Amino acid sequence: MKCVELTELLGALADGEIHDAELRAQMQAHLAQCASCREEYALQVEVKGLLAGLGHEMPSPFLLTRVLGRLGSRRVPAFWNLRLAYAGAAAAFLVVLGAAGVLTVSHSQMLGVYKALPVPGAERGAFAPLPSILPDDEEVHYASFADLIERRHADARELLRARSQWEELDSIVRVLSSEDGEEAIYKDLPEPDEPAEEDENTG
Amino acid sequence: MMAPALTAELMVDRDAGRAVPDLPAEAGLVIRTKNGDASAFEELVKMFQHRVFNFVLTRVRERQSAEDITQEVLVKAYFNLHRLRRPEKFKSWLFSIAHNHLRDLMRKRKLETADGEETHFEHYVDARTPDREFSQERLKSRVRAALARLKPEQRQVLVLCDIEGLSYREIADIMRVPLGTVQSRVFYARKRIKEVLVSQDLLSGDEL
Repeated sequence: MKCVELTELLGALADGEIHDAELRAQMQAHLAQCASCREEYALQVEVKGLLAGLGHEMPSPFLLTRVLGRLGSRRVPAFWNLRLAYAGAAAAFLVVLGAAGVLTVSHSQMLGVYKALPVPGAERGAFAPLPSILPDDEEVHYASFADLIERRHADARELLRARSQWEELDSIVRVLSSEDGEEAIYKDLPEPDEPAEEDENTG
Repeated sequence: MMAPALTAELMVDRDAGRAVPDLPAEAGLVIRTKNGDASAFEELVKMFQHRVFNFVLTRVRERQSAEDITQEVLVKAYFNLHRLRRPEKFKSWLFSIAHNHLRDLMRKRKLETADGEETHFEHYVDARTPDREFSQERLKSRVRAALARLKPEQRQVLVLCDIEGLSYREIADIMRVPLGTVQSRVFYARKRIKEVLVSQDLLSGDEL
């Protein structure tokens, strides 16, 4: 075994990450006769030990309380609540409006489509059982077109809920990560002619 | 589709919330939290808050911002816990949330550190440790300073590997990179730390 084939694996050897017993034996045999690779291996072991001894930087003792407080009340400043509520309501309205439009327009068209389709051994009709449009392992079949629409609505509602939750968290992180932290929420908005402060907190 | 992933969870559930012996301690707490025991999640936070905080500090300059982000990661973990199918994987799952959250923040704010640029995060240099104090503390301070000089992705890999004790496979899954990339980053990051420590050594005249 040559040094070049071995070098980058020495860190993995120090970490016990060489799972192939034969390769491990070859590497150990090589180390026994190559001073340069032994030195490299010793470096990996030494630095690993130094880092393991560092321990953790500890956060403020109040972090636990803050996290539990967020879980308990899901308290969100009124400003964000209102903004998200309006956004959520608008999005939900658009989805309902769109779905209603699709139903109205396509219902009559669907009648024609299903009548036109050859369905061997089954009666032709607007709401004849549809084949599954999901992967086989889901084993979900829709009883009717209305059932499909209802399921799609449920999916849309779930997506809206997830999006709303994500936006809520994101907004709070952005506010709390600003220079003024939580205080920024309660501050008055700056005057139009005041220059905006740059956020230099992270990077 | 979900049956294989649920196996471990069901085994623990049948055992009234007690984890089987070969599962990590946090697995039982995850199950209890899922069953509505709020005190179990408090234990999880106590167990992992400093680990997440430490990981966030690999990308974020200020401690206050790092704490805010740590808080958001833990809250996000709580509200998404029902998605975690394998309780024994909670630790790497939590770091995945932290990694993704940091990546999204960096992307959004365009604060990503450029590749190859050395960073100097002051939090790694513990100002409370003067030179006259114990040499062990001085050495730790120098190792932290050397760690701060790594590329962000190298720093993250070393923190996950050498401080958190995660396997290469877990780190690869968290950071969504190939296994070989983790192996290579660990190797060269350690070499870089040694180089920095040796160069400091030459400048200061101290022994390592």
